[in-house]
Amino acid sequence: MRKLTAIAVAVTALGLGGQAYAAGNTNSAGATSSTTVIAPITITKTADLRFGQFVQPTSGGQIDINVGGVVDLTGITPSGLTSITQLGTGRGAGAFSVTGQAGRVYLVTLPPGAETFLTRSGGAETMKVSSIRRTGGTANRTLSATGTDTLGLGGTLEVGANQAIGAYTGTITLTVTYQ
Amino acid sequence: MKKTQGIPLMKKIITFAAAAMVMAAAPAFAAGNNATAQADSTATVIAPITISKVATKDLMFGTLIAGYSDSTVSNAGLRTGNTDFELSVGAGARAVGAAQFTVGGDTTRAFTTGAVVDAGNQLTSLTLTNDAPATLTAGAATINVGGKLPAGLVAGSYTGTISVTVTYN
Repeated sequence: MRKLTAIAVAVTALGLGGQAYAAGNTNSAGATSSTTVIAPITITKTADLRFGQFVQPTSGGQIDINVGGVVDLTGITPSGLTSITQLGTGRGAGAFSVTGQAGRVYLVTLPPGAETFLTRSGGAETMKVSSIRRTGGTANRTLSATGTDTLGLGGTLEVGANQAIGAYTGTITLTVTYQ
Repeated sequence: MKKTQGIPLMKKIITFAAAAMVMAAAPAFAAGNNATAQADSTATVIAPITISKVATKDLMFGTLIAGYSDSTVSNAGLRTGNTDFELSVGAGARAVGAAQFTVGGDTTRAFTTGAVVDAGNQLTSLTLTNDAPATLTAGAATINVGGKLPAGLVAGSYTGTISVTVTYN
């Protein structure tokens, strides 16, 4: 009987401290259990991280775009090559829309090493995007009173000398988790 | 018999209790506790713009009559405004024509063209025209350069260079 009592306490603790976060979560605790079902957290991409078009450089360099979309082209040489008109959606930060339970704190997980590789369409050449970062640095985020949040996504594109001409694409995955 | 059956029953209960405790210590969230989304990251490296003069295609005014009138060579390479003295007498006519350049680069990108008479060109009064398109087509373009010389040139032979510069917009 002592064992059985322990089980009941454990399950009740789960119901109070762990809470049930979404449909499908069941709780078999006794009448003293309190369960709050909260909105599931969701994340949706609203913009890609776009480094735009630039002329093949003769020496390596970097293009940095911060989470607010500010572009730093100082790493590309010669610098005059960077002033070309941007076509299409141009350069800009990535963005994500997060929804969930109002006021809830959540963790954001970036790609391992905060980097990813872009691969040339029709080829095997790559460019690395390093220093991938998001709004708020490494701190947890809190959903607003309406259960929403927006995350900007920045990074640094590392361009090689005489980088092969073409269109490069890669993916950056963000995971959000309730705390 | 009843006593021996009771032992495995206790084991099961203990196992369940342990599992429940683990769940309580590290809250296990159901689906909806986390979510994932992907953004693309994109960049496009475009070909540098290039320009080269077509061999033998220089801007040539041929032979003019000194002091007679101004002379224009069109972008198409046709001269007006002065006569080709040697051609008119039917001997040793000198070629007349526009200069021609080929441009290479990104598939359809817009570019700006500038044509200038270089410092040191003996034809200091030469002015230039060109028919450069606004954009590359299939990564290429052709530019013809014509020009105009005013009347009143002193008799003599004149040479010099012109430069055409193309820049991506």
